[in-house]
Amino acid sequence: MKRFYIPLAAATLFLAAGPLAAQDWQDAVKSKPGYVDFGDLSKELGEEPKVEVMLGGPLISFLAEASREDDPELADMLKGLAAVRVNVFELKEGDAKVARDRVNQVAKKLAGEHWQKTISVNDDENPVSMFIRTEGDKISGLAMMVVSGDREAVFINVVGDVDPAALGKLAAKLGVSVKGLSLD
Amino acid sequence: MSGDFQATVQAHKDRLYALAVHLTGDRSEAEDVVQESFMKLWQHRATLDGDATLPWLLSVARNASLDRLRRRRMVPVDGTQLEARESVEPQPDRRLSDEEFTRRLNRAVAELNEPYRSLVVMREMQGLDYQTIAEALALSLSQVKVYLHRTRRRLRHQLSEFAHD
Amino acid sequence: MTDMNHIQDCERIDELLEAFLDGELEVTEAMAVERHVAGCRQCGESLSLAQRIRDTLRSAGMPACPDELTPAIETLASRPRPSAGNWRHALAAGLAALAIGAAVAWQQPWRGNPDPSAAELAQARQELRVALGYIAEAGQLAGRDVGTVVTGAGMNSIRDGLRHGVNPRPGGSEDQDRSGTEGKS
Repeated sequence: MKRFYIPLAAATLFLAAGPLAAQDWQDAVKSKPGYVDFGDLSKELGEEPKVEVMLGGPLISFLAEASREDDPELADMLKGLAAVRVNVFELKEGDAKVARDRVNQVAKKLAGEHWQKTISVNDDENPVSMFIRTEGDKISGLAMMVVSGDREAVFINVVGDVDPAALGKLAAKLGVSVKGLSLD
Repeated sequence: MSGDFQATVQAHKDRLYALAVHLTGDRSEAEDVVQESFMKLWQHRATLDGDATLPWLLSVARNASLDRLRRRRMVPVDGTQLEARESVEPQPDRRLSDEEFTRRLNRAVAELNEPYRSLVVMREMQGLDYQTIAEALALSLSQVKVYLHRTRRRLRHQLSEFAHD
Repeated sequence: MTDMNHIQDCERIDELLEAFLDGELEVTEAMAVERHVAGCRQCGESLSLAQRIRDTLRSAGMPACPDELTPAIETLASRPRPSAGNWRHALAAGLAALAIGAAVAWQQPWRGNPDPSAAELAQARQELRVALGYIAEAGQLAGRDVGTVVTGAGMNSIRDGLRHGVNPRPGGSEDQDRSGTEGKS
């Protein structure tokens, strides 16, 4: 028997935990200065990213505290972060140009928006760029974009008070080897 | 689309659906929960480790179900409430039937708090092993056992009138 | 045996019945339960009830997931991801806003989001490691470690520059492009 409910009047009561709360913290991250909108490359490429990491909100603070004992360096680095976002697209024939164009487009946009480029391999074939955003003398965001051969395009955005030295060190120490990352 | 993903969907969809039905009490909500859970699995497929998949899925499905319960700030309208409303004719010899027992038991389970309700559903109704349950519910193995026994004892006390059957 | 002792025994046995059924008791405890139950009608009935509860729950049967859901899931999975939240949430929220509802009491007290489970934390940890892996790889493709390029002269000079209100060129980079940003003081 299908139940019929009288919904409560106020839509504000739907501001609850769960997917809507997930939307809350994602919206909050989007409004931070260190956030980068890479655009929706999946539309242009006609397929979803093969890797999609979107860590943020309460989960990242839990991760920080959970790591406190075993890896205080990691905990400290995570504590200041609002989000860690990684999108990796596998490139099919003809996709590489689309990806490179997008990278150049975003790079131009960031350059005009108080981001500073700190790495650039100005290789038309394989652009690699990294940007830092600062507020005062604090870093509020980090962005990296790579088109690797014609195989994949990687978009990375770390939002929040990033310590790039710690990030680099922890990346080398803890990062899984992604070269051989097989997915299917 | 990956064959592995399809295989995973086939392997676990019934389990997730059953959990969601038992937690939300509503089949169409349960369908939404299952779809949502597998969508999340798809998004995370590159980083999930095979052994962790089932506890992770259970945890996602459980949270999604509980979220729906919390968001559902509604009361059932009179007359179409829980199926339990179907009135049970008092048995001529006053012996409570199995159906009545089952109905009462189901209602008692539905009224349990979390994580006790999820525990009972996962262990007693779905037959999941303790380790999987522990991971899905963020409990230790011994907590799983102790809580489970305590919860069934509580159910037993609530249904004590059936003890003399 | 006095009545008092017997009642206390029954209380103790009552706590052990479920574990006894599941075979989780130590041998001596299990034997004590068996002995007591053999001689105590009330506890015998309790044990039968515990068994009935367990059996009923176990035979509850799993409602099967509707078949039509599987192709739907696969279709969803192969489409570009919709924006956060799905259309059903938006629809439900919209309907609620439109509803002319009588004031209705809370059904359940509000509870915050549950803490992430061990499974979710483990998954998040794994995702972080993948993210870090890509960060390391990106740095390698650029021919240098992410940390050194920004902790070397590069980053320090950016920091110094910022403090002095000057926008320096990132040092140590092959990049010759000016980013044209304004210095902040």
